[in-house]
This record gives sequence, C-alpha cells and structure tokens, in this order.
Amino acid sequence: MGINLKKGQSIVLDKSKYDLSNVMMGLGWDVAESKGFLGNLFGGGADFDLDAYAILLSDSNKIGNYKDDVIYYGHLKSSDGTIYHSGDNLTGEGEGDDECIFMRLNSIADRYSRIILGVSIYQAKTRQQHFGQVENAFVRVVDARGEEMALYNLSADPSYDQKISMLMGELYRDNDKWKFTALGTPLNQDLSGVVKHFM
Amino acid sequence: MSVNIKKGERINLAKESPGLEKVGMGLGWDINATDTGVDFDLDASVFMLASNGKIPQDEYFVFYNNLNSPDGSVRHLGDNRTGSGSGDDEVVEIDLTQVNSAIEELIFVVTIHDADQRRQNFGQVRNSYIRIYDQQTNTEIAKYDLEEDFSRETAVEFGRLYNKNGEWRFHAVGQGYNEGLQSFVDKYV
Repeated sequence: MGINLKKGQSIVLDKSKYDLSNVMMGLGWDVAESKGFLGNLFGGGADFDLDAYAILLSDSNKIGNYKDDVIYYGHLKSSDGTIYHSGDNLTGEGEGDDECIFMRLNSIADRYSRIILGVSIYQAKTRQQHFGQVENAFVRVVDARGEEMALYNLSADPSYDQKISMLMGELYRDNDKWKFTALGTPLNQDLSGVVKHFM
Repeated sequence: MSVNIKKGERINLAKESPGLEKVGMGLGWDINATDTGVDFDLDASVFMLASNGKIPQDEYFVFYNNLNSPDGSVRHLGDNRTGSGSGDDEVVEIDLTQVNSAIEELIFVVTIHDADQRRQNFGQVRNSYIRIYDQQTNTEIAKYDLEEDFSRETAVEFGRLYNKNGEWRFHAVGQGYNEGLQSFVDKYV
C-alpha cells in the first residue's frame, strides 16, 4: 500500500438520504374498461400497453450500441446482467407495479454514467391513446431500502394529458456514487423517438 | 462475563484473552420512539494509525462510507440510521491477524450523525451502548453505557487497541466530546 499524498481528499462524511446501490423503477396502470361498441367506434376500447424503459448512456451522453443499451420489452437484460426488466405487461393486469426495471447500480459496468428512465404508450398513435385516458397510471423509483424517491401520477396530472410518453428521471454517476434527479417531462415522442435523440 | 474496566485502564489482551484473534465492536441503541423526534443515527468508526499517529491512507479510516480496510482486517457491517433491531445495531469486525504491520493502533469512535442540526446528545438516546468483545467466545472486553456516561456529549473516543511488542492491548479511553466525526478526521488524517 503506497502512501496517499493527498490525504483526506477521498473522505466524504455526508450521508445520502437514499441508498442507490439497488434501484427499482415501477410502472403501474389499470386495465382499460371495455367501452362496448360506441367506445370502439370513437377510439380507445383497445388495451393500454404502457412500457417502462431505461436508456443506458456513457460519458459521451450517447448510446454506445442501441441493441445493448436500451432496456425495454424487446431487450430485457443488460449485457452485464445488472439491469433487468420484469417483462412486458400488455394490459395493466395485476395490482401494484405492472412492469419493473431493476438496476444493481453498485455492480453496473464502468462505461455507463447515466441512465434515463421513462414510460411510453405502445402504439399510442395507431390506437389514438394518451395518458389522460389511462386510469391510475403511475411511475415511481424506489431505492435499496424500499424508500420511494419519486412518484408521478400520470393519470391525474394534467401535464400528461394528450401526451404519449414521458421521461421519468435520470440516474447519474457522481464521483463513483450514483444519484437521482426526478424529471417528469411529458413528451409527444414514442420510445424510438427518444432513443434516436441519444444516438 | 465482562471484564470490568475503568476509564483509563489498560488490558493486555494477550494475557487476559490469550489466542484473541477476532474482536468485535458493537454499537446499540433504541429508536426514537417520540412522535415528533428525528431518528437517532449513531455511527461506529475505526481509525487505523501508523507510528506517526495518523492513518497512512484514507481507506484506513473505516466508517459508514468506507466499510473495509485495505488490508482486509477491519470490516464494518453497515450503517444503521435509526437503531432499529435488537442487540448490536452496528458492528465492526476486526481480525487482528490480518492487520497490516504498519498499523500500530486502532482507535474506536462513536458519533451521533448531524447531532448539531438535530440537537441531539447521547443522553437522549435510550439504551445506547458501545462494547468491544471477543468475537469467537462472545466475551465482552469492555462496555460503556453512552446514555449514562456521556449524556451531554455527541462523540466518544471509546478505546484503542494498540500493539506493543507484538501483543495487542486495549486501553479504555472513554473520552467524550461535543464534536462530530469531522473533528476526529482532522485529528487522525
């Protein structure tokens, strides 16, 4: 062991409020009520299929390889295994979180320095859907101790009315420690639009 | 059966507990049961000093943000921020056989996190104690009742394990302060 000439530089006594060694993003919503003939006539009536996604970015703030670095229903696990998606829920069936993305930040590959978390409505344009129509849709981020760091109510909040996707928050590395910033940005772009932005 | 130790007393562990290899430091306290009170967050820390009375490298200060010493001898089992759970709420394990030969003493410190902001002292923390024990036999070497003995204080340099002629000895320092962990960092880094 060499003597560290700059002693005390790495000693940080601050305690972060949250434990970000392991983070979970949870997305939930209610199954669409069947609206009958008239409902189908005027749009809606089809299932609401909300999708949770995580975009993994390097220092350059870009996706290295879009096949590896986007975690969503079409790619459930990162190549280093530290980030994984619970699977596509096509209707909102089930209580609580309907889709989850688990992130073991304390073992994530060094090349990633930022993770963008978001929600997108599948085929929103084709089905003519937006968050305002979905009941009890929420997205949240929970730390390693189960503490909720952020929660967005996508159904009740008028910011999401007429919108088809949103950026929920971002996780970023600061001096080897992961931190979280809640975003809650409503968007008109779907998932592929958001991904293109980071290519 | 614990060895009754008075403040300032020294014990030759090699004689009192021959074959002592693994020592545990246990810190325990009760959660703040009052309706309006903020959590009590007590922290156990260890400073591993070289012959110049300072840590040779930042990582020889073992605490909630640095859980393992570089020589693998000292392991902090994690930060407890409320005191929930019975028995020891924070534990630091020391394997004396693994301590880097450059290290001559280990200083054991207990502090209350953010004591100033939260206006807390040990006297408010029910059933708070710090103890050092033989991990293999679970015999206590020394124990202080923080609530009783350091009621108006926020930090305690509880004891030091020091190596004299190849034998480990324990000195029950028992010095209380109205300071935070930073003051110990200033002293030992």
